Amino acid sequence: MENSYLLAGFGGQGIQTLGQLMVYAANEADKAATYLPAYGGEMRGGTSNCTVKISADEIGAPAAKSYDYVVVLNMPSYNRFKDTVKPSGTLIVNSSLIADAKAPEEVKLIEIDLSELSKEAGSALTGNIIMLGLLCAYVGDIPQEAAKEVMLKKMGKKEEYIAMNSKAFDLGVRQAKAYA
Amino acid sequence: MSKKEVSKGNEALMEAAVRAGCRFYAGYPITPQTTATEYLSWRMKEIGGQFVQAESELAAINMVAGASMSGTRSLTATSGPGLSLMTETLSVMCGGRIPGVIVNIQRYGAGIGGIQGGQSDFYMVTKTFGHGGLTGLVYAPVSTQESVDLMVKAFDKSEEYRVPVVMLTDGSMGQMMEAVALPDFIDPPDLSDQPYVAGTRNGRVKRAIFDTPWFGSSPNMADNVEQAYIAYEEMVQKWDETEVMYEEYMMDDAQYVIFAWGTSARVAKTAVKTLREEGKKVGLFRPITLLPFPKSQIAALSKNKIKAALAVEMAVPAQFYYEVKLHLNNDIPLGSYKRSGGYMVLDEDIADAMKKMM
Repeated sequence: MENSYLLAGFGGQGIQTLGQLMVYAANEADKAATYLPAYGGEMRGGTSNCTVKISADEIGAPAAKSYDYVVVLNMPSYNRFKDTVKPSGTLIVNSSLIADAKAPEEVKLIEIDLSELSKEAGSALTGNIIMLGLLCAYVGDIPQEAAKEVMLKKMGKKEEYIAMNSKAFDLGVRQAKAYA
Repeated sequence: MSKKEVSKGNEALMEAAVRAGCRFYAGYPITPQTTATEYLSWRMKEIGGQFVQAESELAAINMVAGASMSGTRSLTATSGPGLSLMTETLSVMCGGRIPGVIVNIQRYGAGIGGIQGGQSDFYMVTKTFGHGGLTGLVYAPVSTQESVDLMVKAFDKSEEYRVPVVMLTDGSMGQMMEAVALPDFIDPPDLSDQPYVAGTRNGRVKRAIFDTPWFGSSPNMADNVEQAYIAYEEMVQKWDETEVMYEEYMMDDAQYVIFAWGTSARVAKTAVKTLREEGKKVGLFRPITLLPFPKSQIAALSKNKIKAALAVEMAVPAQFYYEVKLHLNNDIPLGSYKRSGGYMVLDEDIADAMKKMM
């Protein structure tokens, strides 16, 4: 079973970090995973995206035409990628910045108010960590414990950050339960 | 082999060079190579090697040639435009029989091209290293794992044959992250007795300039040069028997063959799996060495068994396609699927292109 993810937002929302954390976590769980960033003249406020694949077996193509899960955190990303979800796939949108999102037919839509939730976690910077928790719990191909552990290890040693990120991850997991 | 750790392609490859005993790196930053240079800027210091951010690619390759002549395993990395600037010294290294490893993290296109990955430097490194028509070996790993696995061999072969060895990766492989098992550390070999190494031996100064073909057994320089090039050609021809590496995937009962190298081959493997699930008998033939090219292995594919074939590459106009066509039986129709502009080939499109030939 191989899952493909397209993660997109604006520079600064932590899209690349999210993709990398997924691969670190998958590796901890002895799964194959690839992270392929779209690189170039990216900047804060510009668009940023990456492709992640996670599989129990060897991964061939690191890129794809359409994806099982498309995560879009801002409007330009929604416009660009909303039609790249596979039939029966899931489109996950950040409703704080994307109003009235519509998913193509046969595609499941999940709307998450990341601004509100990240306030609850304690920082607007935790949106990507909330998303990590949500993806792990919703998709189930990365064990939550491994993801949380590797995330806390990679995301800074200060106790306040650990507490904040831990809370953000759990908030994401809780959100996913509503869509299980 | 250590436990697999998630690493960026460029960084894993540079670490593999350090572990292979490389102790000199000179390079000039260019996207998508920069992360490789950045990695060695601190790593070489840590391991007791030398790192130089050169003033240009030509300076970098000249330093590599010089460091090799001091008996040090030496490396540079660049991308297409930088490789163009290096060709002058690549030619000198072939003619002067100086080893060195050159990693080309390819971007697409001519001139400055674009910074996204590509495979359009195929001809540039498989036909001649700069002017003069001499070449070294060219390795084309399919993944970061294979690239790190090939690094020790690249240095060994470079020293064995006294030629530069080029390793071709590309921007996507360099920027990608996945789990890699790095090779074990080996000590830098003692190369002080090698004929291309200048310096002193038994207290006497050895040849202080490189071993050019002008100075041979004959007082006639032209004769010496011709003899040297005849010997060079014989060496290169022998590589066809001793140095060819390739991978065959699901080729045993294949009626259709996809040819691809590097990242394209990785993507093509997914296409082969998809087509097999649909009951189509498709296989993958992947050269690992682009030079020597697996000529006889491709020529041996039978027209009675193979109904059609497809060459896949990230280069427009096609290059690899023509190289395959040169060796493939003329009665086997060969199609071409290619992308440029920094677009990666996609497995769905490869499968469609192959199906169109069925």
